[in-house]
Amino acid sequence: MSSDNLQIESSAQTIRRSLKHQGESFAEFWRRFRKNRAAVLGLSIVIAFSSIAILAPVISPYNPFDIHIQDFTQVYLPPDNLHPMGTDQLGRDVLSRIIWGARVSLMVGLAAAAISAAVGMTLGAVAGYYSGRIDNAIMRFVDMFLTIPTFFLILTIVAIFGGSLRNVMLVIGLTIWPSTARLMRAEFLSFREKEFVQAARSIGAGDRHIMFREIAPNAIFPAIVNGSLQVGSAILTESALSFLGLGDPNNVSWGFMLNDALGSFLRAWWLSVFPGIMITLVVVAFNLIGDGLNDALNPFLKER
Amino acid sequence: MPDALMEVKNLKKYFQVEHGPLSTYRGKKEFVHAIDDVSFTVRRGYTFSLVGETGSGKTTTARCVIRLIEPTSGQVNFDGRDLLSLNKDELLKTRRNMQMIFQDPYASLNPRMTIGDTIELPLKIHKVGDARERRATVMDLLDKVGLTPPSQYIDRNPHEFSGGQRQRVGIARSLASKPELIIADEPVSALDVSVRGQILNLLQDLKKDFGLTYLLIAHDLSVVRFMSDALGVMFLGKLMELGPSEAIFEKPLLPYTQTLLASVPLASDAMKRGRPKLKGELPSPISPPAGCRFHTLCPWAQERCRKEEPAFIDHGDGHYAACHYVDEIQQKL
Amino acid sequence: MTEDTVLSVRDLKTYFYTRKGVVKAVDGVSFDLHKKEALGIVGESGSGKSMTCFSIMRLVPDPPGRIVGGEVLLNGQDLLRLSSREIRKVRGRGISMSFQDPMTYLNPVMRVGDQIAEAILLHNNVSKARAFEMAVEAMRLTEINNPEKRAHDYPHQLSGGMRQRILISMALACDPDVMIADEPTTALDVVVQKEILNLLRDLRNELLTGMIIVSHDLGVVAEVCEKVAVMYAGSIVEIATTQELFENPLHPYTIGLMESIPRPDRGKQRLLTIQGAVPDLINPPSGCKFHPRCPYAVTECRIGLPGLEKAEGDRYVRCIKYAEIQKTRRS
Repeated sequence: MSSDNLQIESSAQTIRRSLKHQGESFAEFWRRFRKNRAAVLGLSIVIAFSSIAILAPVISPYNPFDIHIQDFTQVYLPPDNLHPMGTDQLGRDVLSRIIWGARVSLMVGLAAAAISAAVGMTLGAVAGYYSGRIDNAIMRFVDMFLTIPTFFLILTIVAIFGGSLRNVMLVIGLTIWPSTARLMRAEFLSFREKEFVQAARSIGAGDRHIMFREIAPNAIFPAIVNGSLQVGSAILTESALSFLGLGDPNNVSWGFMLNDALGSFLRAWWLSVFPGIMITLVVVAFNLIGDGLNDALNPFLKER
Repeated sequence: MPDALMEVKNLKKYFQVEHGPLSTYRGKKEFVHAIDDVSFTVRRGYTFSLVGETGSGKTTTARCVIRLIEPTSGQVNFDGRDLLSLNKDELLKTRRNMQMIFQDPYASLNPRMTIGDTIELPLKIHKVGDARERRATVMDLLDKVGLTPPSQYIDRNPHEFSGGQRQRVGIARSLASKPELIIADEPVSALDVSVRGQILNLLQDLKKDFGLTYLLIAHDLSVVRFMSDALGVMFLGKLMELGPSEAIFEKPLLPYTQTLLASVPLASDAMKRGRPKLKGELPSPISPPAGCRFHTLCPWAQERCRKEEPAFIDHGDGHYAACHYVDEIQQKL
Repeated sequence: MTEDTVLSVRDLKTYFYTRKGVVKAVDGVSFDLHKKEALGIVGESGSGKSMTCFSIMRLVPDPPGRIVGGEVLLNGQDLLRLSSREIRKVRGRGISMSFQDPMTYLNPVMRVGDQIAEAILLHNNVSKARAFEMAVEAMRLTEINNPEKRAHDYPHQLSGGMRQRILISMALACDPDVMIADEPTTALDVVVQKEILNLLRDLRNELLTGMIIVSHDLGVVAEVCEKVAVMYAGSIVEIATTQELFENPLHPYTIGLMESIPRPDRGKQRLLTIQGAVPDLINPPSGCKFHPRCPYAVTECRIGLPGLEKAEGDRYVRCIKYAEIQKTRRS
């Protein structure tokens, strides 16, 4: 197309451009995010749970590991004044376990998402920037990962290497990174040809400068949005692992609580309902944040 | 006549065409002849323009000269040294002396960097001065390109400014490392008409104040005429006509150039004189026509034009043209 | 308004409601278009020229835009008062439009002949085969060589100039009363541009259709139109014949534009430019919107928007001092 393509915009385009914020301050972005009630709700839930997790030793009414097998009067207690969420089959206070379980869920979720981000962003950036054979190699690697059913891969690895928290974090993180890589690659591919990048190259900027200081600050947003969604997904995966009994038995996990609740669903509803609600809440919260981030970063899409 | 600041010799750039696995051309090696043996000289202190339409290769030439794209073959002698033979470090040093202004003011500035950081970039990369000195230089540059007071601009982001202002930032950036040669790739095409004049005036002033040499890539002939001392007309990867700007505008020798000049809206009657009516479709750059590249469109085309590529010869006073029948056509007009 | 007035726009206002405020994209635009007349609307970005045309066609994106006032009379009928269904009948038949960038306005997976036929089928009760024939005829009208064959091509197989001709064919396929061409040559090379302009000129001579050519390039408009309206910041500031506009521009903005364009016949003299930049449409300057940039501005210019007054003959100017300015320039 002739270079005339870039000529005078119609007023519609002028208006559209003013709505598509590029490079504006955090305050602007925050204002847009704040307008999305659902996203703010999500953020509040996450903050609440994070606080609970951090303050667990302080606010937990009982020791979550306190077993009272001997004392039959303490087991399977329905929710009451002493135990607002009841007790489980070993007499442990459910509320305390919920509180401590928040730690595990959030830790695993955030760590897994962080690992995924680290690996995915790096590989995606390199693939998108260098293109050609390196891109092909990395993308084939990604494809390989995508063809393996992730959950079964995780199951297998955990079954072989054990379900310690560290293993679980690592294994989840190392299996969900392909989507981040793809997003990052797409952004890098598109930004690589932009004029301001050409300008930097013509000045003499090297690859490192261009990748980190020119492209990355612009390219990172879809990956961040994806990251938020991945936290939720990682929490779900961890819960599923624990539910199947493959998680870390030394830690309290909501998934494990569900595992404990197997068989007593009708008898002691509080053993499954409360952990279930918590998992749902947190995962939905992260999804809402992800949506909110997306809308706040791409306001034009929402307008239409 | 001033000496040559840059000499481009026999520059070629071929892009390989990629065919998908299902294409009928699979396996066949085809090349887009983006630039096919182009040579010209840019004299110190001059503004030399490359003119042409889409597909002429003028933008590719600019990018090859600054080595944003690596040419397939040829020489680019800049200040005595062949740019294409330099290694990374030497190239970096030479880059200080040769900078580029880009076309789209909305895309040529990093939206996440402040204007000050953008202009400072060349200084940082070439390690000129310390932070304080650099900032002072940036303020000075903002002043020189008409963005005053500089403090109102230096720490803000590009999106707060208009196209014209952004283009000034781009110009300031290109001046930061005190280059001798500036390659301006369609510097005003993307700007409003009323702003173009401001930027064109600015470019002329800066040229005088800093003793710059410009290589201008443009398709708007009015802009070219206003700015250029010499120009070259490109078509389908080849230089067809070259010479002093006024000579070409007064007496275009090539049918293609005549058509270009006559097609400018508001062309004067003198420019419209002898406008040949082009027929046929633009040939493909993958398999350019044999003989003269323009022959499929040229109303004067003869047998010889289909078979033999015309030589690029001097028709007096440095006015070169590649056409077999220059004199005959001139007589007919 | 005379008998052969085919389109009459009266005080058209289109505003955009954005978070940053109300953008007055079109702020009181009025003009008439007659049969067989070619009117050029010239302006820069933000002038409202394209938005005026979108408003006439009722193609304004709502939200955030909205036509808030005025009348658009096509053969006496006010298009702004029609229902969605009724306006759809008018689009393509009563008024049609061709757009700036043919590549984005053509469906890449449909043959061009079919795309034109689609337009025909929407307004005519004919068979598909017949519609295709009519599409080929429309292509012939825009001087496309070998239209029977070309109609089976896909957009990517055609050159830029050809695609623009297809868009124009689509616009003319149903023999509209008014055709609007929005920046018909901006995306094209200069030689092809010339051909398209020649085409538009021929069409204007042959057909009864009234034409509106919108462009930022005065030269383009000068090649086809006999009358030109200059827009600035949402309003028309001057209407004159092409010749009058070039020989004797009255409005300071037009004068400034003329002086700032490098013209082949002006050599290398420093260009006289217009100070400043296009104004903010959310908070436009008080009074005359051009006054902050006007070298002739006086205090009165800040108070009250000047009306579009009749100047000599059939010319209109939106400037209270045009007569004095003219005298100063003549001396």
